[in-house]
Amino acid sequence: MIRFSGVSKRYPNGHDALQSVDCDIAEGEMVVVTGRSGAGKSTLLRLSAGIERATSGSVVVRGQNLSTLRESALAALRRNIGFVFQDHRLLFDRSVAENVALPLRISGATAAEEGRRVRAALDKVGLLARERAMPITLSGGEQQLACIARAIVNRPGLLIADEPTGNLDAESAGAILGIFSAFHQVGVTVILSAHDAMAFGAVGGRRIALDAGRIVPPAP
Amino acid sequence: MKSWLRQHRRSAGDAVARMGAQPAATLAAAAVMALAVLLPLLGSAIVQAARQLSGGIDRDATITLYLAVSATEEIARQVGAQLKSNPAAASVEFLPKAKALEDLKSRDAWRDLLDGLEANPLPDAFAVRLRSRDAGALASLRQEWGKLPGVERVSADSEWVETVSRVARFAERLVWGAALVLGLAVLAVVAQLTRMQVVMRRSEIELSQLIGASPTDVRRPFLWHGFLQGALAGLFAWLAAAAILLVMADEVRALTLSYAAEIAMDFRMLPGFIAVCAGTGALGLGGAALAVTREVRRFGGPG
Repeated sequence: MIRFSGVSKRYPNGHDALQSVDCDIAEGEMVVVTGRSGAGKSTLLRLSAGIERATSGSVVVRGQNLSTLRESALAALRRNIGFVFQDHRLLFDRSVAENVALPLRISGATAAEEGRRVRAALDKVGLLARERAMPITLSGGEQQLACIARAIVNRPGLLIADEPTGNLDAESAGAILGIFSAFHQVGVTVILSAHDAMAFGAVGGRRIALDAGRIVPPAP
Repeated sequence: MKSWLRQHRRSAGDAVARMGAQPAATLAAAAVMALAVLLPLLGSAIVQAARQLSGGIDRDATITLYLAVSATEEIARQVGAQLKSNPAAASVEFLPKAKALEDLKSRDAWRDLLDGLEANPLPDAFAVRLRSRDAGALASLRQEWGKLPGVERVSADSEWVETVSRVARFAERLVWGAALVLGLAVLAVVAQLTRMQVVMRRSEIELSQLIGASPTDVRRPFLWHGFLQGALAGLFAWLAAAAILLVMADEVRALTLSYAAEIAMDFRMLPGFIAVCAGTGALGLGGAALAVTREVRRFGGPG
């Protein structure tokens, strides 16, 4: 499903976030990307989602080489990928339901379809009762759930989450990991990142360890 | 196709809602733009009025020769013969002083005054229609015929019509120039409004790009907003211009009647209502497109 071939990413400030990374992620697989802060986890995830382009090498997602795709095609690809951001990126002047509906608005869903799918996504993450709440009134865990609902509302085949349990208490983190496990069990490809690999013991899946932008053998 | 239409309908609805949410700002911006549009609109109506005035009057080049009051019939006959033999004259009409007096007496305002006169104070005259409307030829003939024996005064009746026509042509160019400059002003106002909106909605735009909005998706609501804001300004400008023409109508009519012409100034002299709104809407669209493209590029999107 995803193939990284000799992928390097250098940011304009000269920082090499990834260096000659080669890896494959299969359809329906659950992958946990681990590493310390600055190891390149977020960059790997963002390259997988077409949010960033590699400086060199190729990233192929579902047969499409992202380096050569035009911006409009890349945007179309991103519409079919659910991405859970580390900082939630909720719009604080919109209700929870309006935040979750944003991907559907972009893809041009009807109002009826939008209402139905937003409620289904909120129900799946256990946030249906708060659909009219404003994000500022939600707890950190609930904000993350709203972000997950927004990522799954388009029913993507690939779900990517960048440190989805960061800053959450153990109970909330467990609930969120349970949601990702449930998606993996119904065939969705799931890629998560974490700097604390132990936190992901419950979800299983393959681990990819990164250190200073290179893939290294996972610590035992 | 349905999805494309739905997205446009949504973007237009979103733009209307945003304009409605800030009515004071929306109306103030539309009023500023309307002022810029009003000037060329009124200018175009005035040019059209001037064209009506010059076009509604006999445009043939005509020279009238007035003989001295003391000129004899023989002198009049000789002048008439010379005029008819001139190849520049298309037709020559003799206007005897007796007939001129009769004509004047047939008008109530003059009758009492003329009845009191012992002798006819009017001269014989010739109206000569020329083959050419060339200004140089006209001036030369005026000079030549002014020297004929018995001729006291020569006037070129069509000169002022030509002057009005030339002024109208010049004014038309001025109006086009003003329309261009003021159109740019509308463009700049909408661009600035859009720029502010894009900055205010930066987080929404960035998020939308991250989750799959294409550059077109990002631009669409702003383009609708620019178009609608421009069209609203066009509507205000057109209504204001029509109201001004309505107020001016009586004065203009009275003024032109004194020149034996009649101009009824009203909204029909303005460019079409839909054309004005579409034109200013297009300017708004252009301003919004410039601003949103530039600002979103400054954010640096994904990819």
